Amino acid sequence: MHDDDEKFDEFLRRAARDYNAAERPRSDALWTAIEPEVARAIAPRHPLLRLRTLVVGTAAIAATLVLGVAIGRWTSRSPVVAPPVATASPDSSSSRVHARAMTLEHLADAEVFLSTVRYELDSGLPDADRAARSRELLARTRVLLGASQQRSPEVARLLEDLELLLAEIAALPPASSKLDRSLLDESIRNGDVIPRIRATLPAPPRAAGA
Amino acid sequence: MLESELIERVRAGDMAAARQLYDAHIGAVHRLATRMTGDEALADDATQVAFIRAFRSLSRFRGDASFGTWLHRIAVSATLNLIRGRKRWHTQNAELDEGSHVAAPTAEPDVLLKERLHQAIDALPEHYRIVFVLYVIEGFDHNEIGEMLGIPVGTSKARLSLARSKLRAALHEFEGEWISA
Repeated sequence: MHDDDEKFDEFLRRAARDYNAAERPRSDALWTAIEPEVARAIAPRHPLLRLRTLVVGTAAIAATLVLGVAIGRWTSRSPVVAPPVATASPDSSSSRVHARAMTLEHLADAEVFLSTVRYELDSGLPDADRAARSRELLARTRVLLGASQQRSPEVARLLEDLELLLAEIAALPPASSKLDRSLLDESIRNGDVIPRIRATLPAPPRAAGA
Repeated sequence: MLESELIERVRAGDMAAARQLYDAHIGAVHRLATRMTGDEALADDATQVAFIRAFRSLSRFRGDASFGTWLHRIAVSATLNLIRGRKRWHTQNAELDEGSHVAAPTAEPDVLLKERLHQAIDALPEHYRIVFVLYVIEGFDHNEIGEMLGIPVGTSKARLSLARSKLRAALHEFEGEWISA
């Protein structure tokens, strides 16, 4: 059966070689069309803007960490005396619970932000803070991506796609063109990031003590 | 110049380096987009979107995979988005397209086989067709396809297997062609 598959694949490879075969791309014409966008995308940012991003990003990271620790402590509350935090290893289940709580909190923030951006794009509303908010979330996303914690491939992939999307939003110039906006709108709608975040977030917990 | 050096120069805002990077990869990206869409204009659009997205998010490229693999992943995502957008448009305008896909009859057996194969590939469900194109025609392995499409390796293998079954059924009258190979 396996040999037969290989023979069939080889046959397909030969017979399908010219399936949707490409012409030589119009490299120069395509480059000319995107050149201004590329120039904007790679232009070094002003040092003050970088500093602002760093400050906002650092504050966001600190807030995320504090929030994560708080959620982690809250979720690991127990009637028995809790072990000191210093004894927790990075691989401990408590650490994983904290990391998961931080990720979910971040995804919930991102979902609200992306839904707002989508609404603004639909309504044609300008938003001076959009890029700054996007960079803040981007910084938090990168911290989560950089953390050496275990997470499911789906969540890792979702964070990577979110990072890409936030980078796109952050790079959207204040006086964005219609093409910019439609590209971004398409990314948000078709990348399935919002539905995937919603699918990842747990349903609201039922009232405790019932 | 090493590609990693080129990428560093692009990150520093060097447009000449950006053009070099673009020139190094446009052929493969455009070919992939054309294979996936079967439409030069749509492939042009997908190629442009892919490069704009890649340059906008170059700071996220860490070099874990090759730049080409990373760019292909963006290109596949951009192309799928455009295909889906086009599909919605086609659904809305279906009546206008009716009758425009009638294949001309041909007497050459080899041409007939290719025609039937191409029609059968076109008829595959999109997520089978994309895996088939990436694996059989473009030569990517299942790990790379999994990475590009955001699916587990096992899913990629399963989709290829189903695509293969459907093509085998569609081409059963040509069975001798691969059994005797």
